[in-house]
Amino acid sequence: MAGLKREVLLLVRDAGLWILTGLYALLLVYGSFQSVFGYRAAINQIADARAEHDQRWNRMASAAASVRNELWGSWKSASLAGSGQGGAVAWFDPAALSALNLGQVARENPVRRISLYDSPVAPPLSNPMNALYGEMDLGFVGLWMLPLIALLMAHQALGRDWESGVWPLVLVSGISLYRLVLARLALPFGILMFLSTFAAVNAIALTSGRYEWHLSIWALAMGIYAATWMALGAWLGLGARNPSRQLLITGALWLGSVWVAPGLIDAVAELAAPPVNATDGLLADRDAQLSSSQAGANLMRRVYREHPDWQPSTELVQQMNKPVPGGPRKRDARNVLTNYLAAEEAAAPILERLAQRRLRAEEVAYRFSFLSPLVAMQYLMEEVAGTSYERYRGFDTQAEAFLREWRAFFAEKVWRLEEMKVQDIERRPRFQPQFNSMTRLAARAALPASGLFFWCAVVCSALFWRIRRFSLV
Amino acid sequence: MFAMVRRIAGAELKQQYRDGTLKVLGVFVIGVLLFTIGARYTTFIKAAAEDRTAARRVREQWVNQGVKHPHSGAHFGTYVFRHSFATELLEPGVGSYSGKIFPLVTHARNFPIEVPIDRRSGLNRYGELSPGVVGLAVLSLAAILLGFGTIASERENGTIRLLLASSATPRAIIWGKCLGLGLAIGFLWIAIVGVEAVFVALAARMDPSDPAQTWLRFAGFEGVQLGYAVAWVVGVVALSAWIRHPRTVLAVALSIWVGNTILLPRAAATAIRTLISEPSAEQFTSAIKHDIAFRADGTEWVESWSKKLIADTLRQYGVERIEDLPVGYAGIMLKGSDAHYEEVFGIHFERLHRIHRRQEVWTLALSFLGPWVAARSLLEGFAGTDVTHLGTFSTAAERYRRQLVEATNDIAVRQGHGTGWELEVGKQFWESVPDFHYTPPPAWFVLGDHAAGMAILLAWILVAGLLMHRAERGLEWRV
Repeated sequence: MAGLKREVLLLVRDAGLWILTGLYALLLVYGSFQSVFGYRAAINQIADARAEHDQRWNRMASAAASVRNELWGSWKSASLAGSGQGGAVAWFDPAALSALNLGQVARENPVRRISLYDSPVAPPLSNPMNALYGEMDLGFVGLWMLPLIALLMAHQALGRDWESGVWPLVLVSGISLYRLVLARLALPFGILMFLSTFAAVNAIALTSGRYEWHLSIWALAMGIYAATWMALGAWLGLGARNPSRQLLITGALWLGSVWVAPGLIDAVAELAAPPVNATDGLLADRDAQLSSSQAGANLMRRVYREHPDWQPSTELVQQMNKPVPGGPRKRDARNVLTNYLAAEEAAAPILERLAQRRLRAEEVAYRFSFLSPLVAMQYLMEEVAGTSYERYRGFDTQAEAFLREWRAFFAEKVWRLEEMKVQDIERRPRFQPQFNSMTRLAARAALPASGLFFWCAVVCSALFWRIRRFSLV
Repeated sequence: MFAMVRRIAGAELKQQYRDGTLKVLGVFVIGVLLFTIGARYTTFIKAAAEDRTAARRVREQWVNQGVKHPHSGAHFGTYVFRHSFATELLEPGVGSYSGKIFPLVTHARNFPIEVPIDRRSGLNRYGELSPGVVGLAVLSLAAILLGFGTIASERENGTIRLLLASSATPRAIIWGKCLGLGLAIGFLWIAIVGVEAVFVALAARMDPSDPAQTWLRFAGFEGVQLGYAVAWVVGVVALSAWIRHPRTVLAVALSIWVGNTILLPRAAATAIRTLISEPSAEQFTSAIKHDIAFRADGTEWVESWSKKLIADTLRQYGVERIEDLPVGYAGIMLKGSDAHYEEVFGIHFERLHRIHRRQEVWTLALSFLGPWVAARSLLEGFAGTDVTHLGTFSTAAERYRRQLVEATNDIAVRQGHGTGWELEVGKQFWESVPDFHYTPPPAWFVLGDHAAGMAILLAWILVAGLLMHRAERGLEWRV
C-alpha cells in the first residue's frame, strides 16, 4: 500500500501532468464560454422572434380596439393577419442540458416563421467563414481534446519507466501491476472527470440552471469515454520501448479517431444517401405557380364541395374585391391562397424526398457510429443534451402540425371571406413546444452507448492482457 | 558544398524510403483522398448537372410565364445558381456553408438558399474533412513524422560527429537533410497532385469556365499545398537541429501542429464571432422593415412620398388626374419605391458586410500565430470557394435582380397609361429581358485578393528558414 501511495505522490510531483491539466482546464474554460454564448444566442434569437411576434399582434389588437387600419392594411383581413402582417413563430427550445453539447442548436435555425402563405426562413446572417473551422464549444473539448489529454496523461504516467530504464525494477518490486496501473491512472482520471464535470455544472448554471437527472448519464458516458482513452494510453505506455514511435502511434490513433473516422463515416453517409438537390422542388413549385390558377380553382372547388357552408355570397365577393381607385387590380384573397396552396402541394413530395434523404444520411452516420468512439460519443452526448437531429426533427414535425392548425384557423375565414373579429386575435392558435420522452431518448442512445461500451471493453481487455503479460505478482 | 548537400540529401532520401513510413503515409493519403473526393465527386457531378438543367428550366419558366402585368412577373422572379468550379471538388470552403441558389424577386434582397452542409450528417459540426484539408494536414504531419529525427537522431546516435569529422559543414548537413526530407515529402505531394488532377479533369466538363483558368486555379491550389509543406519541412529540420532529443522534437512539433491545425483556427473563428457579432435575424429584418416604413424623423415614408410623387408626376406631364397620364403611373411609383427599398437594403447589407469583413481581417491577422488559416484561405481562393468569390457572385446576382426589376418597371412606365395597372405584357417582353450570365474572376485575381495570405505563408517559410539558418550556426557546439 505504501508503494502505491508513493506512486501517487510521484505522479503529483510530475510537472507534465499539471501542464496537461492546465491546458485541459484552459480549453474547458474557453469551450464553456462558447457553449454559454451559443446557448444564449439561440435563446436571444427565440426571445427576439417571440417579442417581435407579440408586438405585431399587440399592434393589431390596439388597432382593433380603436377600430383603425394598420399601416399596410386592415387588421380585419384574415389573409394579412395570418401571414406577413401577423403570422406566428414556432421555436426549438434548447433543452436544459444543451450547453453540454450544442449540437443542432448551433446548426439549425431555432425559430421557424409560421404564415398562411409562406413560411419565410430567417436570413442566415452569420459569416460562413466562421463555420468553416468548426465549433469549439464544450462538446468539442470533451469529444476532441479530452482523448488527446487522456492519452498523453496515461502514456506519460506509464511510459516514463520504460524510458528511464526502471521498468524491470518496478516489475520485481512486489507491487501488483494491476494495482500499480490503477494507482497511476486514478489521479489523471480523477482530474479529468473533476474538471469536465465542474465545467459542465458551471455551463448549465450559466444557461438553463436546470440540473436534470440525465446529467448523471452524461457524467457516466464521459467517464467511460475518458477511461477508454486512458486505457489506450496506458496500453501504449506499457509497451513504450521506443518513446518516439509510441508518441507517433498515440498521435495517429487520436487523429484517426477524432478527425479521419468521422470524415470517412460522413463520406459513407454521402455515398449511401447522396444529398438531393433542391432544384427539383423549386422548379415544381414554379411550374405549379404558373399553372396555379387551374390547380387553385380545382382546390377551391374541392374546399367548397367539402364545406358548402363556407361559400360566400356573390354580393360579398363583389364588395370585398371592389378595386381601390388608382390602386392595383385587387386579387381575390381566396385565389391567392388556393393558388399558393396548390403550388405548395405540387412541390411537397419533392421537398419530402429531400427531408427523407437528409434523414437517411443522418441514419447511416448514426448506424456506423460504433466504428469510432468519438462518433458514438457525439451521438450519445447530443441525445443526452437534447440537441440531436432527432429532437430537431421532432420540433419540425410540431412546427408542421402547428402550421396546419394555423392555416385551418385563418384559411376558413379567407374562404368564407369573413373579416377578423376582435376576439379572433385572442383566439388565434399558439405554439407550445413539446419534446420527446425519455423512453425515446433511451432508445436512441442505446446504439451509440453500446458502441462506446464496445470500445471501452476492447481497449480495457487489451490493457488487461498487456498487464498480465508483464505481471510477475 | 553542393556535392556534399546532394550526397547527404540522397542518403536521407534513401533512408526515408527504406524506413517504410513514407510508403505507409502515401497509401494512407491516397486512400483517404480517393474516399473523400470520390464521395464528393458523385454529388458534385449530379448537382452541377441539375443546376444546369434547372437554370435552363428557370429561364423557360420566366419566358413562358404568360400574359400579365410586368410587376407580377417581377414578383414571380427568377433563380440563379452559383457557379460551380471544378476545383470546388478539392476544397468546398465556405461554399459548403452558404446557399447555392439565389431567389431574385422584386421588393426583397434575399439571401441564397440551399446550403449544402444542411443536407449532410451532423458529423461535420466540428469541421469538414475536405481533400484540401487532408492534403495540408497530411503533408505537414508527414514532414513531422519523417523529419523529427533528421538531425536530432544523428545527434543522439552520435553519427553527427562522424559527419562533422568528415568534410561536411553544418550548413551542408542541414541543407542536405532538408533537401532529402523535402524530396520525400515531394513524392507524397506528387501523389496528392496526381489523384486530385484526375478528379479535377473529370469534373472540369461540368465547369463552364475556361479550361485554362481551371488548370491555373489547380496549379495555384497545388502550389499552396507545396508552399505549406515547404514551411513545415524547413521548420521541422530547424527544430530537429535546435532540440537535443528526437522525442522532444516530436512532442514540440506535434503540439505546434495540433495548436496550428486544430485549436487556433477554431479558437480564432469562434472568438472573433463572439467579439464582432452580427445582428440577430430579427434585429436585421425588423430594422429593414422599419427603415422601409419610416423616415429618420419617425414619420411614415410612404404617405409623404406618394403625395409628393403624385404632385410631381402630374406637374411634369401637365395633367390633373393620374388617369390622364400618358405613361403608366404604376411604373413610376414602383421605380420610386424600389429605389427606396434598394437604398435601405444597401445600407443594411453594407453594414452586415462590414462586420463580415472585420471578422475576416481579424481571422487572417491571427494567421501570424500559425499558417493554417492563411494556407486554407488561399486554397479556398484558388478553388473559387472563398468569401470573395461568393461575394462576387452574390453582387452579380444582385445586379441582375435590379436589372430585371428595372426592366419590368421601365415597361410599366413606357407602355402603361393612367394608373398603369391594366397593362399586360407577354412572351415578347419576357424574352427581351436578358438571361443571367456570370463570368467568374480569373485565376490571377486570387493572387491580388489573397496577397496578405500569401505574404503570411511566405513569412512562415522565411521564419522557418531563419530558424534553420540560426540552427546551422549552433550545430557544432550543440553536438
